[in-house]
Amino acid sequence: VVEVFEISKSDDGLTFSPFETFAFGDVLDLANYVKFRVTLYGDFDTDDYRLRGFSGIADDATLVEGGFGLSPFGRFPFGDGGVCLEDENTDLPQGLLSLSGSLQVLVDQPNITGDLALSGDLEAVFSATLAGSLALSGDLDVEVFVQEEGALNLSGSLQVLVSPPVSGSMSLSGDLTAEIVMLESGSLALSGDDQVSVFLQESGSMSMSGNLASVLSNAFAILGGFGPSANVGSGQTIYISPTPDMQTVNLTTEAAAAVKIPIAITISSIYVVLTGTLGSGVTLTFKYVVNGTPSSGIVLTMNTASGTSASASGTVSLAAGDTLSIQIVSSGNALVGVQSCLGQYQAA
Amino acid sequence: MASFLFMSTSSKNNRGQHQVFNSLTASTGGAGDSNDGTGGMCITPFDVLLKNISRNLQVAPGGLATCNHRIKKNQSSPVNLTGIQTISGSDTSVTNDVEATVPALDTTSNTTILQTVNFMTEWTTNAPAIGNAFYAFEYQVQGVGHSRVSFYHIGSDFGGSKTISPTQFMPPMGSASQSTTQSLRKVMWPVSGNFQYIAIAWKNLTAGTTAALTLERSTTLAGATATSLGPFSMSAASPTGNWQGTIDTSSTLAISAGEFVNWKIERTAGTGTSIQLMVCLGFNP
Repeated sequence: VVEVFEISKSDDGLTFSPFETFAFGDVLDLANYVKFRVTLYGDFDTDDYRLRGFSGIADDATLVEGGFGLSPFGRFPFGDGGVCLEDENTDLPQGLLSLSGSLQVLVDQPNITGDLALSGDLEAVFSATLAGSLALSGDLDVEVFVQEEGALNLSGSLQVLVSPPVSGSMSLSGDLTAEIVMLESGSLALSGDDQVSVFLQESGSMSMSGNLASVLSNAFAILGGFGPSANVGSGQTIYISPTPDMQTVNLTTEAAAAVKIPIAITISSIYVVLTGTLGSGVTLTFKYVVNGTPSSGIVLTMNTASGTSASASGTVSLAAGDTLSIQIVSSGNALVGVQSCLGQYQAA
Repeated sequence: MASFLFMSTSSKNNRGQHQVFNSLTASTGGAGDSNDGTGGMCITPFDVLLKNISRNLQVAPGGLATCNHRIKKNQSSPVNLTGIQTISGSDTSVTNDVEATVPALDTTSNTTILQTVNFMTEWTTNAPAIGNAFYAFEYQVQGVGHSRVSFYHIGSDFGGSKTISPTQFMPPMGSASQSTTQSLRKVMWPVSGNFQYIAIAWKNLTAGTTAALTLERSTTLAGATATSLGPFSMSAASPTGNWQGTIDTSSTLAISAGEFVNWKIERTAGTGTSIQLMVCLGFNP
């Protein structure tokens, strides 16, 4: 026995398209007017007569967006197959959304104001603004890019990348392989057999337990580079740039060496190699210069005893839009230049 | 993703191509778009998202003059990745919050390498005052597991070459000038971690010549190499003017803050003495 299901569509109710077959489970775009047709044929006995039909509800005040039945149509049909209107409603529920089972989930709605709870075998991507709490559990492969103002609770066998600013609390537990890049002003709790990298500005509390292989740090990298510069003259004040080639012409005007920094950073060290050893009684003093003013946050003074390399640490902070250069002041005729000048910085 | 700064300097006096990512400090330069293929370039082992591109000049262009630049990819058929940044008149800086993804090097063939080379272009109008340009922009390495890696570049430009015999040494970034004395090309590394994620592209090796590139770590400026990464072997292509490339994302070289690092390049067979080379070195703190 064969069942054939067909649909014909029309925009004006007068001229209809030829009937086309469809199968249960198909999702179809409808027109203003639709006709459905079912045909059964085959060699069957009287007792075998059966028909799966359509049961749609239209023009109903309360169910205009939905239908139900064996083969319904409507915006949110359920049952054995269905025919759907194209979903034009992009708002997620305002309340609690709970999903479970073997899920592949993409959440990219602009706003979720309620709580979201997912469990099961999940492959999920969240790129939404989520004001409520997010709770995930199970065998998860999850990327979360959210503005999370509520609590984020993850548990289970997790592979997680979290890169939002998180202002609420965050709790991860289970067998985690996680990379968390966030600005965390709340608490962070990790436990279990975890391999976790956390790059965060952590102003709240943080607790970790279990068999953890974790790295905690802001992202940081190296500024400065390799010259070498020309020899620094007697009593000379020169400037080099924090660029890979350092602008090695021994600039005497700070503005000529200054680089405008587009993001906020914190510098924490300076490492200098000279092209030779300074003569007796001669010093070279290195300072970072922010917006034209030498900073005393990191000061490196080299002399004969320093040999050809030395370093210093401290803190120099820059806001986005500040300028940065490196000042070198000689107390005498140095007779050497700067071979390399590098420092560590972190994006604030 | 973690954010890093990339800072570079144009030494072309407000004109011509320059050494984007500082992979090349001996650019032959040029006067603008028509010379896209002859100026600075860079390669990366991963896609890199560029953001917040800031450019400032030592000297304002003055009058009706302008200094312009943009970032492109694909040497053989340039594709603009960013809009044009213009500094004009009495202005000395411009910052654009644009986003552009420079692609990872595709080493499949000469054609794919050319398609995944990235570069900046500079040009001017109405004869601006002479001065250098500085660039600083945020970049984010794409992909889970790579977001902490920062990159450092060295090499030659489209028209330039590096010496392979006698054995030469180079710093990991900055000046492209080589030296036969290792200590003169060492830098003191300021962060403990591992060098990893290396992209290399080369061409113009004489037929029958092979070369090797090795990253060397030492504990003192004058001391001998203690550990190394590589060598990365490079052979001549056919024709020799075709690009070849390699990417190593698994090998590592550990270093502690205060130790020293340099590149070594040497001829391992044949009679050739030079190579055209781009190197991108990743560092995973």
